[in-house]
Amino acid sequence: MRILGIETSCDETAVAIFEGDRASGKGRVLSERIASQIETHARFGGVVPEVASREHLIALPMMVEGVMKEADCGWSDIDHIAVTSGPGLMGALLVGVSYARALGCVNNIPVIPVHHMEGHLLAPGLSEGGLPDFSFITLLVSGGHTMLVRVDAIGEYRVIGQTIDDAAGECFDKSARLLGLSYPGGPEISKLAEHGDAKRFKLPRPLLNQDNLNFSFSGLKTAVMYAVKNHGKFDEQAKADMAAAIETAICDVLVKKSIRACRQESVNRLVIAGGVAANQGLRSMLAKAASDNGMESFLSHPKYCTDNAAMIAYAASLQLSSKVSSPMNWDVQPRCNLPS
Amino acid sequence: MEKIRLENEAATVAYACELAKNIEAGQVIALSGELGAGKSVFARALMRALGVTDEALPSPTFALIQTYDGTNCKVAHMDWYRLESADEIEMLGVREYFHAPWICIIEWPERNLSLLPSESIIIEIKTDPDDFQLRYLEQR
Repeated sequence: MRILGIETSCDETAVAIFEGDRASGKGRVLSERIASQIETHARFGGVVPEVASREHLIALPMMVEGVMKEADCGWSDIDHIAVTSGPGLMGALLVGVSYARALGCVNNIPVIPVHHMEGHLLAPGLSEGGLPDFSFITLLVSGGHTMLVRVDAIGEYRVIGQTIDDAAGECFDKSARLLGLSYPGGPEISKLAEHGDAKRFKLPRPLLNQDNLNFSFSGLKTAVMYAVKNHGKFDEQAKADMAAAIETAICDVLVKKSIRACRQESVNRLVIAGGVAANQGLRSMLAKAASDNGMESFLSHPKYCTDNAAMIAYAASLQLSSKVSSPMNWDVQPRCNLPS
Repeated sequence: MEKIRLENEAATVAYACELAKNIEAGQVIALSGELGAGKSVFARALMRALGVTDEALPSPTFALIQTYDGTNCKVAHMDWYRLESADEIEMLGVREYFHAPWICIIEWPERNLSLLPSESIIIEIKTDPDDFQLRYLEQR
């Protein structure tokens, strides 16, 4: 079966066609397109909701035509349309969902709503080797989310830890701004951190010593502000050292809590997903910690860590093969919990 | 305008609790101050004092508006940090939250001060370069 995936929850317009086996849901991506609005939003220092909605609307028709052509598909070849229904920015989600529904209506194709975070949770399955066997623990980290999820089956997810304030990606972005770096801050910090000494500046490890699986990154940002102010003039080396200290502090907490989650849940498979999972420092720290603790780690291809539509089509394919039914009546949900 | 000296985070939290006693549904509280000044600390303390019991109070920076149930009110926690123009803020339907049963807490109100109702409480949090714990708070 062929599934057209559409993702417009934030600042990436993405479409993809996935061909999945009806029994297993597994398959391959036939074609995909991602249009990033990073350059547009960089001027504003962040995502601007109305700009994002407008850009999605302009980009979608051409992009859908592009993937259909590349996969050599006509509308009669498409069995389902999968679209991100939430969480995300209201206006941005509405553009994708309305477009998907219109396509479905005109071409008589059923439309399946997909939870954005479920897409991220399952995205590691798009890499070679596919998804690990159930059960596994996934560290899901992005600009808007930081959570530890226990995955027992398709559609059975349990959030066992989450941020009580800022997301890890937000901490990267805001710390970068305090250092005077450009948007988006995460990749800029990583680049600088390569030449930095993480030990020069001491930053806290929030909630690390508390006996739970929650995160808190708001205080870390304040600590960065003071360290920057206290230091006076910041030369290039000081910036690099601070970037390294920030990256290490964030990753340290993420990795240690992930290992703790696996122990607590007696699960030895650890997956990392979401936009921040593209961070090389985090990937190598996590892989090492997992192997030191006798656990297997699964790192998705960086291409499928950030927002994309292949993961949305793939999640729908897995839902269909696992007979997880989608609701008859559904609507855009800017805020919604993971299915459990 | 009052200028209040708050020695540490506990004093900030206590101040927010005191403020909570004197506000009713329909009130808008705007919090300004630089990145890391403690707007979120203040906002969270205020939400707790208003009876919000959710374990996680995630930053609204990404989602723009987070909503909660309080005691005898609903609470909207907004962050206008990523917003650019008055139109955009208007488009989010923020005015809906300026009336009962809502109590509306807004971080980065300077993105569009003119949108705030005239009876809003505006609080500015300032840091001290020599004392990391100390905060000055101006309320009008």
